[in-house]
Amino acid sequence: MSRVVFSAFGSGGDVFPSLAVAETLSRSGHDCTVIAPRGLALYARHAGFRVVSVGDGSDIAAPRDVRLMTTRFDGFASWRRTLNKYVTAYVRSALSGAARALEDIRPDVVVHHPFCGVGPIAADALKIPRVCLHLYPQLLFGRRRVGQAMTNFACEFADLLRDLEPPEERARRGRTRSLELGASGAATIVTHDPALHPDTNLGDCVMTGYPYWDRVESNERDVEVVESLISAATGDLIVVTQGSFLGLYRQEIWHRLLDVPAFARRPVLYVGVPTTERVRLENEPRRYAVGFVPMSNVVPHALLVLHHGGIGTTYGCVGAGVPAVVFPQAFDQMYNGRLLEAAHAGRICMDSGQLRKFDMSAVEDLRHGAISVADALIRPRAAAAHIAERVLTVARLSAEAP
Amino acid sequence: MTDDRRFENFESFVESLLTHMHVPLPERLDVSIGLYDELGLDSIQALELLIIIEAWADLAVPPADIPEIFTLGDAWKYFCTACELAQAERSDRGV
Repeated sequence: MSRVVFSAFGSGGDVFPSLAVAETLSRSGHDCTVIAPRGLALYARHAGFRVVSVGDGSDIAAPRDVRLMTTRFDGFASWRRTLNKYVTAYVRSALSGAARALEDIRPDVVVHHPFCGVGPIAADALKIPRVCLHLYPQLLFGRRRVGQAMTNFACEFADLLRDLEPPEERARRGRTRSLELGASGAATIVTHDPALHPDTNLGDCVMTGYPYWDRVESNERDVEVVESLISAATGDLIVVTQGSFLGLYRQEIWHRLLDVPAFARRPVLYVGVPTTERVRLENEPRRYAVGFVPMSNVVPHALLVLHHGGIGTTYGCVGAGVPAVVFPQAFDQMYNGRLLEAAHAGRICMDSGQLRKFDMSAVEDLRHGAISVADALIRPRAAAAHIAERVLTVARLSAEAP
Repeated sequence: MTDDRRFENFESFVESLLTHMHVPLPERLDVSIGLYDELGLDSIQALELLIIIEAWADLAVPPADIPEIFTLGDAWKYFCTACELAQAERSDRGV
């Protein structure tokens, strides 16, 4: 039996692969703990995982930051702000708690998000092997060049990492470990799928597929709404979601998604809507709004999904063979949208104007593309099992090392 | 947000909490005041409230069951519980 700690960061799509792997490992009798910022930790708590909440909770302010939501520089501008403003503050407030938790648990291996900071830093200090679950292959092409660019780009975060690094380690390396930190552990596993991301030339990183997971709890009213829509089986259901990060906190985003002529006269289900917005969204006939419901319950019944391009929703839709219209706002969302476009499984609409011009006649072709990708995708359980096996291998090799 | 806050009583806790969350203070502070029906908190603020309470108590290992907090009294009661749990965590570590 191995002890595995998952050090999570980000939003739903970032943490769900970790929970899928944790679930796989737990089923085999391994001991799993999730260390996460307080808001993100709620997902793991809901799902019944043992959780250590770290940090001062200030990360919950991030989604409200207007300047975070930008597609400038292909999403790098939002990463820059996230790293400099929020990850830096998170690492400062959470590192001691994370280190304490690792000292108490003494895990055989730490599995971490590439940006989480506290997991890799604390693991390195305690000489615990670590595995990076990497969601951003675009940062791994020409890793050193991109790593250096990111270091210059997110200089405040890079400075913090440099300050935290033991001087002898910095001297040994000869240069700052900076933002390459996430991908420099014992193994880097990229949670994209070769069927959607054909360029797998990522050096020593391995691409395993995306272990989709969404076992989130829903309230009874939302479950009833979804069940009644599914049982109606009209065949023309449109699902609109903006994910956990954008949809719940940036309420104005829903205003921009209301006027889509192509969706007129079709039932539209808005998923992940805060309570204050639901009444307004449901003003029109055949419009329904719910909070969190597992997308895997809804998407297979949809004709089309309009989403933000987050990695979790992207794989949730294409895995079900359902085409998507991607309305990207920040981070890797444009990149994921381009992957869908290249696979003829989705279309990017950069603004409300393009969204209004979207023509439903494109859906049939997109559906064929989505089904082709779905047929070739690594199944989520297989991806989770593959990652779990690699994580255990790293733990075992490390234990056997002299 | 400052960790490990201590409050003299229910009133000082509620004043800090609602001020922090930019929720207007009611005319009268009472444990029975409903967070959602009377103070108008939405689903996001409900999550924020939980996070703030646990951060203020400096609680690292929260209970597996997410507490049901419907009133100001529930919030105060959970804050006191969270402080006790955090104290137990510190005792376990010998702090």
